[in-house]
Amino acid sequence: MRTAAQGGEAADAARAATQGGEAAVHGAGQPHKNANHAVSHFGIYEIKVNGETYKFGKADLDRVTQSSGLPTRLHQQVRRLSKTYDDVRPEIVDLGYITTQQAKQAERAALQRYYETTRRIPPGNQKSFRPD
Amino acid sequence: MVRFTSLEWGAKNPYHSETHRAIRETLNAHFPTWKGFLKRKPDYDVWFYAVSKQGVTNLEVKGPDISRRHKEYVYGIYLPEAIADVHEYLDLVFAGIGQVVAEFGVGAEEVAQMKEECKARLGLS
Repeated sequence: MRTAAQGGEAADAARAATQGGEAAVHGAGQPHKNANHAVSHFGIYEIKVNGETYKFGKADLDRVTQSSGLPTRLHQQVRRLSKTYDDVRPEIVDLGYITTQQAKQAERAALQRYYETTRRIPPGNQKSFRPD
Repeated sequence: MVRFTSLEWGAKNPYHSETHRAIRETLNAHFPTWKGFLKRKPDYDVWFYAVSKQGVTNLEVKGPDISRRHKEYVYGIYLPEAIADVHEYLDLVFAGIGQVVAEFGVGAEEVAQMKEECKARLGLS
């Protein structure tokens, strides 16, 4: 699947991976996925609770549970919220293969857009997000 | 308990809001009859995700993911992107659920009955 993010950003991601490949090495020569220059298949998710946005986040879409193909981390969050709320509804936008840093920027941009539209910070992002 | 969640993965599910409660209530009303599951895993939950994913053209059921820690079986019901209306949506959802519960000894007649009960809850029958 090709996405808008896979054009120039993918090239940047590949370049960043090459240039920064010696830093933050983890395990068998692969950069740790938390390293800003690490490249992976990222997406931005939005979790809606009873129709209201609860949280934006980034997810590694290569880390899915093998049998169902569902993103593991997202399912964990949905499970936790489902204990409290009736209707928990996650949405994912596929960003393609980009760096962790680019995924963080996309997550922040989504949050900033949401804040500028609503003047609210989603409950699940209140500890980590400070608007511009 | 049966949980039912929509996951929109690059594609929209315009039918979830109006149907999810009726689907969940119907499934939970029938859950005590899923003996094939309850005899083996009496303290486990079943969790269905209705997955709307870009590029999917045919109904496909994936899973289960089994969590001993959380005592749950998780299935993904991958729906085709093109769905004409809420009737077709329910047909597809219950076709997927039917594939899963067939393994629990639930027959096609009971699945058809669940679908009709769900439609009745929604005022669609």
